[in-house]
Parts: sequence; structure tokens; C-alpha cells
Amino acid sequence: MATKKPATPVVLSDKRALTFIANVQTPANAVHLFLNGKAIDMGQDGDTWSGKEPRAVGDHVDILFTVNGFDGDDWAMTVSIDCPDAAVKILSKKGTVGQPGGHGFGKTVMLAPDPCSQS
Amino acid sequence: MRIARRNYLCAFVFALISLPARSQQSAFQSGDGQTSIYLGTGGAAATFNSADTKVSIGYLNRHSEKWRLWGYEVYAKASSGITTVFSSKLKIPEGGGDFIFGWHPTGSGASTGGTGRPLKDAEPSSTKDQWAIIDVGYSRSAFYASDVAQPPSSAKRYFDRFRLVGVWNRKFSDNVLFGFAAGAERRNNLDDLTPITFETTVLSAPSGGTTSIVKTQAGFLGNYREYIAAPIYTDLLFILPSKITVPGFGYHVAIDGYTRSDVAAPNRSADGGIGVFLTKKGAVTRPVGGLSASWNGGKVRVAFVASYNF
Repeated sequence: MATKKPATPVVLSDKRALTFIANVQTPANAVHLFLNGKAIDMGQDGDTWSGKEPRAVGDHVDILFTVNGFDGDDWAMTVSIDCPDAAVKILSKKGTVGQPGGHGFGKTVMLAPDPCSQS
Repeated sequence: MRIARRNYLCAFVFALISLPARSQQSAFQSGDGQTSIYLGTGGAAATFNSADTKVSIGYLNRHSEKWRLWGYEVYAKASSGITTVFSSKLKIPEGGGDFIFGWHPTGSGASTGGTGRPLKDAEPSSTKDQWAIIDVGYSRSAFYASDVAQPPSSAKRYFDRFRLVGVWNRKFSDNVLFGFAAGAERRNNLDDLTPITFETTVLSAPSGGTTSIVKTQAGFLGNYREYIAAPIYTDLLFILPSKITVPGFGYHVAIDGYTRSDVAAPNRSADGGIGVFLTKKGAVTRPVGGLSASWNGGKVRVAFVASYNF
């Protein structure tokens, strides 16, 4: 007769909720930014696209950024974590459509246990 | 009087540019200021070409992950100014606005490459894109037109222009953009009338004298009429590879082949043309200036186009 194992508490997640701030400068016709596979909705104000959304993340965040523009369009993007004192930048990158990597990139960024302590 | 009107225009322009602003129509225009390319990413803009000088300002509500977009644009066209250096055509003051709403599918852009999910690092992102826009506009202008000799006060007219245009833009690659626009617009035939000057004698020459004092007013002579046009515009824009730049300036080069047609009788017409534009370094869809040549019935018209985004 099989013995039933005692139930052990299951840790569903060691994730914490952080608010990410995205900012993109480009004249391109479309930009998209995904954090852990989910898009951040960014509003357009001329050449500036910006958005701010919370994400449940562990010790890292997967960032995927894509640009649809014309050959020669520059872009510059930053991703920051919203902290009480000031936003902490975790990634900053530039590129040009038509050059290697100019349509975007994917990158995993490791996060400090307390990112806001760096602000 | 003329100075006062100019000051009023300047004040209006500065009031406009103090607003948050985004214009809708691009500056890839033919000499008559028309285009089927709507890029919607520029700031408040001043566009100058041989046909007119237009200052526009607007607002665009668009989000990276939403299909729908909307915006508006208000503009003013000058009645005189430096455009007269390039063209003898009489300019009339005009003010108006456009409201646009449209669709820009998020899935057709670089986000998913058409797969419906975020791309992995190794996958190439799509260079294709497309958007569609409905443009509803109204403007009002004032001018003097008559087919008989009469005082300017009797010849003064106002024209209310209405337009409804559907636009589709398709980006085939990082170097090719196609634009198509079709709709209806209320127009007048001022382009077909003869620019003239009304002269009203204020003080007649004294007997035996030869000098009299007259008051003048620019206007048009001919049978003025208004009609409904059915414009169809196309643009095929080629952005040359970014390594091709203007030495010393870094400007990119774009070539716009276009057609401008009116398919409504009795003013059916078809123009074809080509424009060569220099565009900003790092922002290849922002022309800083260009030359546009069009053909219509054997007549060639060359226009200078310049744009400045605030």
C-alpha cells in the first residue's frame, strides 16, 4: 500500500512586481517592446514613444525590442525601473534601421535583488 | 493694413506652435501641396512650396499596441510672402483643419513578423507595414473674382472647401513606400481664371492733370464656379540606401514618383510627376527640401518644396 506523501508548501513564484518605464526616440513608423514576452503599450508623442507598466519578474527580465522604419532611421531606447526616488536605468541601446541589429534586439537583463537601492 | 494682417498671421502661427503638435500629411508633396503619404510622426510643421506656404499643427493619438489612431491638424496658408519669388500665381489666404482616424495593425509591423507572437532573437523582423486613414477636412478662403468690371466689394467671395479622403499606405521594405488616396473634395476653378487687379479711382485727376489716385485689389477675372472633384492620388516613394548621402550635410535622398488625378467630370485631369527630396540624417522620412516636376497635357511645372518640423 502506497503511503501518501505529506503535502509540502509549494512556492508558486519568487517573483516581485516591478514597474518598468520604456522610452524610445525614433522617427520610425512602428516600435514594439516586450518584457518577458508581453508588450508594453507605448504612446507616441512625435518622435518619442513612452510607456510604463508593472511586471512580475524574478532575477531577470527578457527584453525584446523591434523597430519598423526606413533605411537610415535612427533609434535610441531605454528601459528603467520606477523607484521612489528616481528611475533606475537597466538598459540603454541605440541603432539605425538598415544596419546590423538595426531592426531591434533581444536581451536578458539580470536584476539586482533590490534594484531601487541603486537609485 | 497689410502689415496688420501679417502681424495677425504671425501671432496665429506662434500661438499654434506653442501647442503640443503633430502633423499628419508628409512633406513628400507635389507642387500643389498634395500627397497620399501620411506618416503621422512629425511635429508641428511649416511646409513651403511654390504653390503656397502652409503652417500646420496637429495632434496624433497613437499607441504602439493599439490598432486605432486618430488626430487632427489645423493649418493656415499665407496670402503672400516669399512664395511670390518663385511663382507669379496669386495666393489667397486660407485656413482650415482636418480630422483623421485610422488603423495601423500592430501585427503587421516588426513586432511579430506576421507570426502573431513576439519574435525570438534569431528571427528576422518584418520590414513590411501598412496603415489606412480617413481624412475629413474643412477650410475657408476669401478672394475677389468677377467676370465683369465692378467694385472689389461686389466681387468678394468666400469659398468653403470640404474633403473626405481615404488613404492607404503600404511599406514594402525599408526603402519603398506606396501611398494611395481617393475621395471627394469641393473645389473651385480659381486656377483657371486670370489673375487681375481691380482698380478703384479714389481721386480723379484734376482737370488738365494726369495723375489720379487709385485703390487696387488683386483678384481673378473669369467665370467663377465651384464643383465636386474626385481626386485620386498615388505616390511611390523610394528611399535611397542610407550610405548614399549628400557630402558635407549628411542628408539622405528620397525620390517620389506620383500621380494626381481628378476622375470627376467635367474637370477630369491627370498629372504625373517626380520629386527628389533631401531628408534629415537619421530621419529619412523628414524632407528638408526638394524639387518636384509634374506633367499635364505637355505642360511641365517645377516646384520647390521645403519643410521644417518644430
